[in-house]
Amino acid sequence: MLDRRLLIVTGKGGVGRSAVTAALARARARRGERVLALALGAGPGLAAHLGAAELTAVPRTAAEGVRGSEVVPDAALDEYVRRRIGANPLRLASRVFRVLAHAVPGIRDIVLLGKVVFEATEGVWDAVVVDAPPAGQIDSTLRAPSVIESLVPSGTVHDEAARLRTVLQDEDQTEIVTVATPDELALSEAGGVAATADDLGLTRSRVLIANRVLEDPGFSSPPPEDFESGAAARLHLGLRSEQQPLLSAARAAVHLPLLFGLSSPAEIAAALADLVPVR
Amino acid sequence: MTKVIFVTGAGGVGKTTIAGAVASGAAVVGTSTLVVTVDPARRLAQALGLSVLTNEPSPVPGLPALEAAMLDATASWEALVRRHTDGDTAERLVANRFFRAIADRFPAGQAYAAAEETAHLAESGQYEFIVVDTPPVGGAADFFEAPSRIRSLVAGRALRVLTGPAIPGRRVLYSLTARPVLRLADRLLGGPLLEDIGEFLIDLRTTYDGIRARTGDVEALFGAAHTVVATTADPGPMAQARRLLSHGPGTAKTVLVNRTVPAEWASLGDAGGDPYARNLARWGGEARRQQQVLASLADTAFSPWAIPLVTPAPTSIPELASLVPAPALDQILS
Repeated sequence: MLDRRLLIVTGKGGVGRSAVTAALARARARRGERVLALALGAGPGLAAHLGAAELTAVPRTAAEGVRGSEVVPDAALDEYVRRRIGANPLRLASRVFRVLAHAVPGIRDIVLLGKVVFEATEGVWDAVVVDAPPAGQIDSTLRAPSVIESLVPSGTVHDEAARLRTVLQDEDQTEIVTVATPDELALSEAGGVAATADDLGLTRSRVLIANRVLEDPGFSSPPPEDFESGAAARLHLGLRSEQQPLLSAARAAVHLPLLFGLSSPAEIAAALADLVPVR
Repeated sequence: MTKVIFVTGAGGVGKTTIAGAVASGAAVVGTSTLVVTVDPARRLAQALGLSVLTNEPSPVPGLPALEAAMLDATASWEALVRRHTDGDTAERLVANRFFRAIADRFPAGQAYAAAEETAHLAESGQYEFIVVDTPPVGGAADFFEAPSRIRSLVAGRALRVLTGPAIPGRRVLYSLTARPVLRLADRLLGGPLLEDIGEFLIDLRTTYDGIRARTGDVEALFGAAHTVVATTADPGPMAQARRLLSHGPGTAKTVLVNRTVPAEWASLGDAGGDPYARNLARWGGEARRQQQVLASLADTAFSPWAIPLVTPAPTSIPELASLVPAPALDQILS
């Protein structure tokens, strides 16, 4: 578990995807592996959790020896054209391709996913941990290979789509990590990701991580006197009693606690790296 | 005139609940209000006492001034095309396999369709307030950019690149396969798709005049609306909130910070005391963390209102209606 070469981390917006991505990357790097943490259309969260000022298309060293980088759409499109067409009318080809990719969302998805798979299969990294789009949007990324394969009967884009589908389906190479906080919506979106993955026959290597779980506070009822400690106790017990039935139904493989009082993203990711079950 | 209130913010901050709370707060004093969501959140339906929300506004039991509706985002892209072109072209567009592939996969189209539907409801003049729970797109600001994205899609920039500057009549594309640009595109994609795309773009171009006029209306609606920027005291949502405050449309904005812990807990508790004191110390740490994050709004002109973290989550209209502090509600509805 959590030991494949390509880890795709998704989950509903706001559940801590970037924190978990950075934690997994750090934990893999602590095993001495060469790790790339890669932001794929995921917003600016990953950089902060890696303790970096920003991420760019070129990998740079971040906390704990992890390299961090971002899939930048225009750069990825140009790189794709360069790899497929070679140097000749490169500027024109790039321009045409950018416009096509803009008009055909599936093509853009293929190219961005292609960059991720390229990094994961090139042999440079032992682990590529991807901060992927949130659960609501990852559908289009995961479906893109099949959609393009059926739309385009032959040609380079078709072949590329088929290759990406094979990698996404390979349970020895690829793992889908879904993060959810213990609430109804986040868990139901995690279920949606699993349903999409089933539908597409994607890798059976999947991990559900429950994040921000409230731990047992060491008491089961509020204190007799009704001061602030009573209000805090009722809040903790109330929230925990909402979480518990959802957690036992979801059967997440990993539970990560809510880390009280930690505010810096880099600190949070470092603390979570101690807790994720990466050998 | 109908006043439209957009509730926006990062995913997971409680937009849907806040939209329900603002709408309930407006309707409890008898003002005719509609709350529109695109989020199939059962919680909102439950709290409003409805078993399901549908496309058609339906009255909320026990609160005569409030109606609720849920826009079906997947059907709306097709509806959009049908609304803006003639029947034959619409049929061709909808039947195009390329269209079918992108129809449910183009979030800006769904976001835009939701905005256009809101404009339609606002023009009907039936409601004093329409509270819109905005759909999550890429980033929170994307909802407000949807009109310009749609415009550029149907304006046919891709078509011009494929066929040259003149917008040709139908079928002209196929005679142009000698163009170097098309030969290139062909090598990149594979032939038959290119014909599909060409046909699709030429048909889509017919929606341009309608959509250009309508996107203007929608942008005017955005500019005149009140924007409620919802956030939690977390770095990601706060960064989104700051972007919405500086770049979002209009000038009337209110910041609501959801799930806050009482500020006075920050100095309480005892990490070495009994379990209750330790628990209060942990939540006190959470209060301190939240205050640090909230301080990042200090350089903006907006002072945030706190919505407390409550358990259990609101399950009735009165509970929903009291969630937003009264002065904040006055600011939003004034």
